[in-house]
Amino acid sequence: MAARRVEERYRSNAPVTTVRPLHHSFLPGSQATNLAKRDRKRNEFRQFFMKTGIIGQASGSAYLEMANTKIICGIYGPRQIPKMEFSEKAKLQCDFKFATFAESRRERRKYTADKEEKEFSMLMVQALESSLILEKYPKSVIDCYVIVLENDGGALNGAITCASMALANAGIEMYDLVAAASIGLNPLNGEILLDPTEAEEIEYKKGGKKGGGVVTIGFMPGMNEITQIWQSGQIPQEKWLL
Amino acid sequence: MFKISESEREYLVGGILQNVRNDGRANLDFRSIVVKTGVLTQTHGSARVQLANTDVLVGIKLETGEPEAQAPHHGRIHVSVECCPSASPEFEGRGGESLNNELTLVIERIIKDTSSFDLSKFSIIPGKLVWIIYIDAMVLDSGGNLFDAISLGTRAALHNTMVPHVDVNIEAEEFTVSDDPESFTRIDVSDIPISVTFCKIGSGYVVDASIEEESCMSVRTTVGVNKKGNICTLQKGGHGSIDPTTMYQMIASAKKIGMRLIEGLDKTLHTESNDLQSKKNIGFFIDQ
Amino acid sequence: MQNGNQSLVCPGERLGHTDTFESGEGTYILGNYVHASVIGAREETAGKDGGKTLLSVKKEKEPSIVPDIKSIVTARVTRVNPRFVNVSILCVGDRVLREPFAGMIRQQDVRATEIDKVEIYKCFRPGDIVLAEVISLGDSRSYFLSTAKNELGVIFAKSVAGATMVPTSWESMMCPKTKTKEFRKVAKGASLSSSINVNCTTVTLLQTKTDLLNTTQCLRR
Repeated sequence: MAARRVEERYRSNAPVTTVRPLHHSFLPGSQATNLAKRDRKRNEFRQFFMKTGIIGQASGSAYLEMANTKIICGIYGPRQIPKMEFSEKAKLQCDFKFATFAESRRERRKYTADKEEKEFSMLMVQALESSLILEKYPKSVIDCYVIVLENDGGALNGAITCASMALANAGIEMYDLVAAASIGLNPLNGEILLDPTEAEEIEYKKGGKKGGGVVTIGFMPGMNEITQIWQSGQIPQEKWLL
Repeated sequence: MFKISESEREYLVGGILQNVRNDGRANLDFRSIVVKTGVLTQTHGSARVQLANTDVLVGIKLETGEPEAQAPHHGRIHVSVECCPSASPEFEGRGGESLNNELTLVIERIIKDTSSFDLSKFSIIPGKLVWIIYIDAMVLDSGGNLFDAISLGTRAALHNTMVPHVDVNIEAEEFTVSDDPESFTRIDVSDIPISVTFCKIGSGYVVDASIEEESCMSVRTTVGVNKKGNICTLQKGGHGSIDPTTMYQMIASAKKIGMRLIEGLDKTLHTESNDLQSKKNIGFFIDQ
Repeated sequence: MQNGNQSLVCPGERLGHTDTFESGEGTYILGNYVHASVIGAREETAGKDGGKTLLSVKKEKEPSIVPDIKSIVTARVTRVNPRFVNVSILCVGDRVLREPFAGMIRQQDVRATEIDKVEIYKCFRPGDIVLAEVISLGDSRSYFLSTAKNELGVIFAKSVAGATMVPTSWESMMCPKTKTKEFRKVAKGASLSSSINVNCTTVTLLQTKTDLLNTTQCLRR
């Protein structure tokens, strides 16, 4: 690992030289076996667990676990906008963060927000803002903090679902709950699979010429409206009509 | 932020319902696009795209460097988009930062995540040395629809890029980059997607929105389309929501419009690269 | 008047047609239907004179609230200057805010008559607890409040000697310890509504808590 980063000088860092653990997915051929090992049907979710009101200090909070993906979300506010321009509506601020140890397949994350985290924060705001009745809270800001404790695929959709639950738990008035899910298009056989794991996500994205990718959709079931849609990878247009 | 009055907004939304927009276009019409390649001599490849007021400059620089640990046999791509504060005051400071970030990530995803690029061709000494492709886009003036302008510009600039020939001595791990301007290879851009961006305004939606239209949109959907008509990346922007039927319609029209755009772009690029010699610009902003 | 019809609903859930129901707290109207906007128990209140039934959703826990125009707020004076006083809003109606919001009572909003003769120092002192009405969302920093009504003004104040003062007129209060008079814009106590009583209790409790904290800190020293 590289020498200490300037940004992390004030923390106690990992040793300068470290060796990554030999995770089974690094072994040759393990990706393929991982894919084949999918032990649920293609339209089946991983088992999940949800709980609200787990952070005492927050106005609202929620915890979501989808097999190895674990997400925790806290809502603070509505509180006064600190030194900002006047606004008739509330402002939603999201802060999406991976825990530094959240992923096994890549290097340890930094404490400061990286590009992906910044993007996910923005996507979350877009996904949730249209579900809230923001006019009810003029001049205020609602803060939403999401931490992914462990990521095994579906971090973004988990975060959106979890945050929507936490917002409802905080008693913030909303038009509808937002439920988000992700699907993957398997480049090998053209199958569409629900709720891919991280290994599957990586595999589908680099699908090559045959296509393959991952789509995350945030949806308000009661209103029948899509609040967020996000695709990475290549998917033939015909597949969209399914 | 660019803002228009309530009555102007009504007029605009009413027009879209009738399929007539303020500048006379139908909802699914693009403005005329001006693409010029090879505008910057200091770069390995460059292009400038103009969509009415929107003016985007894309420069490609190549450098040699170490590959990423995860992909030792592949070249690297680095995308960055910058909106000049001179183009619009809203690009300054924080507002510009988040817009830059959004634009960068969309373009990056279009180029990188869609296997449009055969990056293994950019390896020089396997595992040790690769080409790093820096794609830098600069927004000189904004008249709406930056996403599509930048993605068109990127494709055009990559088409224009000349990769210098490299002599490699594998055993000694030595290499020399040829400085002969005649010895270069081109990049195959046929699989690189472009984006088509829709804005939902009122209950209708339009393609290639002007800045006035963008200021009253509730949802923006950027759809990446490649030559085969496959959908490569999809991203929703804006703070509204959209019903699934409209979403499907957008994707279907994106495919049609995108394929037509690519066809047109390829034709232009082809003729441009053919009569490279005959074309001489007097200055950056003036044509002969 | 409540019907026995109580069930738990979630945001977005369709509760009833607008022909028969009216939208109450915790609900909104979309199209021709009343939908829930919060998690809670569905509640139906029969309308007056055989009108539409009022549908509301009672939140399961203390809901989030922000000050709005015309709401009566309870605030503590933080700073006084000749043109206005700064306050921090502690309660809206009978609900305690999780975090205080900043408010401001300008000289012209202190009382209804002779507004140009108002001397702020004779109306408020830092630390006073004031009952006020929100007149506008104000500027970027604070809400604008008004005490220009009989029942609005100082409801709790301490004298220089530290004792809780008792009101003697609408513009003065007296310290029970030293019998000195101090000037305040006093709220008319007789017309205190039940919600305001609740407020007083909350505020007194808050005050007692800070007093307790202070005492313990003094003791520690």
